[in-house]
Amino acid sequence: MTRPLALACLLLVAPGRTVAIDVSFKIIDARGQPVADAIVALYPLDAPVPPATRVPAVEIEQRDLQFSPFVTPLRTGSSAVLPNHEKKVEHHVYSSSPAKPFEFPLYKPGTAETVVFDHPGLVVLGCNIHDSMLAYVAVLETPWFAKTAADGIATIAADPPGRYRAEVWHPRLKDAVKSGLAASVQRELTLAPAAPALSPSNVLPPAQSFTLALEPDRRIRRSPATSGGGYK
Amino acid sequence: MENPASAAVNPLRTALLACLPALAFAGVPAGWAPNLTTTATWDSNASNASRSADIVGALQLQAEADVAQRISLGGDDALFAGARLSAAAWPRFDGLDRAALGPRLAWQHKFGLGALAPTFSVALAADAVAAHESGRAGLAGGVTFAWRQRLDDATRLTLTHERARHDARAAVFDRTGAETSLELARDLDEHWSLALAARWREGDVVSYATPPRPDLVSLAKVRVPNATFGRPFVAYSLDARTLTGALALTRTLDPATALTFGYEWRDTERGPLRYVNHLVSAALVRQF
Repeated sequence: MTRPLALACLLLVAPGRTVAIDVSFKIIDARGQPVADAIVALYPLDAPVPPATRVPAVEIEQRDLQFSPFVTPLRTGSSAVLPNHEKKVEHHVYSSSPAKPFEFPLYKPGTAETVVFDHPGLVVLGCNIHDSMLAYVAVLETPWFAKTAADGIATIAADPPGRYRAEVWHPRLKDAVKSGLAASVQRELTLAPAAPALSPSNVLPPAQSFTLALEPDRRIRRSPATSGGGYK
Repeated sequence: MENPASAAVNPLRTALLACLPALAFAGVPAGWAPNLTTTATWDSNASNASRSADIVGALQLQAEADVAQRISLGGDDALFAGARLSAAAWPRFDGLDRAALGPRLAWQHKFGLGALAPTFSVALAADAVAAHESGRAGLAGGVTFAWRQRLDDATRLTLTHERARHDARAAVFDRTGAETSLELARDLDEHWSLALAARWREGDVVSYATPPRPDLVSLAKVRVPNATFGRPFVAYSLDARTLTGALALTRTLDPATALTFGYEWRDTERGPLRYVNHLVSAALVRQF
């Protein structure tokens, strides 16, 4: 979210460029409840995707036997730092995803490896010691993306006006892991600058609304091991 | 062995025994991931008796504290070194009260990356056992081989084989046995999981009966008069086969706490001797 906003600010001050258009998305489930951690991306249909620019690495930390954040969108070529912020626990961080396979065995507290995500697609992060640890990195071929907050809303500043394909991905979509980003719900939309007198901030009302059919949350649960019983 | 107050409940003793493992956490350093399990179990046939007149049902309260330190041995192997302290109290029959303390050591190998990769482990256990009835005290040890496989994110299969031995001061309470177990567990939703288990054990059991029992005399390796249950029983040590079917429903209260309700059916047989135990239990597990 930070990066598109920064890009939008640059576009607003760049001479000779059109003004970025803020597009809001409201993502809800079949019951009308807001959906957090959905990734919304815009792909231009009438113009090429602008070249990638160097951006700071994002952080996906390991703390309290969890990855945080749970879902991270990135542009292709971006990097992420994976610090182990546990006090004592070591991890074995890995990805078997075709878009970025890697493995950091014996990943001790205080360690902070950096991974460059140089191919588009979905990357699933796990820990080979703690099966319940899970995170997703969506590596996108567009600079225009955002992740929904708890209220299900995400805003993207896109430029230039024109036709775009909006794609929405969430880990609980059907085949979200098996098919990766191809499981996204897609819709074509046209962005046109609003009249300045009507909307000085160029926000297009109303928000684009997507209703997702989500599968039950089948993540491996973190729970204490119970005794297997047996004859005493 | 005599127990004149066998039918009386001693809540103070029971509470002390049940809390004993919790005291072990006082000196546990961080990183040892202590686990505390407290269990209440109703055993429909604590006397392991085959005749209805000898069957005595009883409540058992148990607490176990485990600590373990994981030591990585490369990417796929790990050692787990730790200890276990356990205490069991029988409110009606304090002769069965016992406590055990001992080290644990396990080696685990994981065959590849990911949650679906199977693991194999060998675990060694040793315990010094103290008991209210001195004849039941002694040394115990065992080795357990386990194969664990997740079938999907919600389903786990575990196959174990355990060989265990308890050398008691009184030979009648010696127990050597081998048990093979297959357990299938499935998460039903975000909070509940169900586990089904089948077990087959060959080994020593202790059955209590009112004499004369010539049928058991001919089978028993050792027999002694016993008053643990407040009756003039004889304890017979027998080599028998026990089949167990178990069902457990677990509610995860938070990532570190779970409540398990269980039922076990045990069928033990040796020649003409056959008895059944029904065990109903509730357990609270807390990981620190």
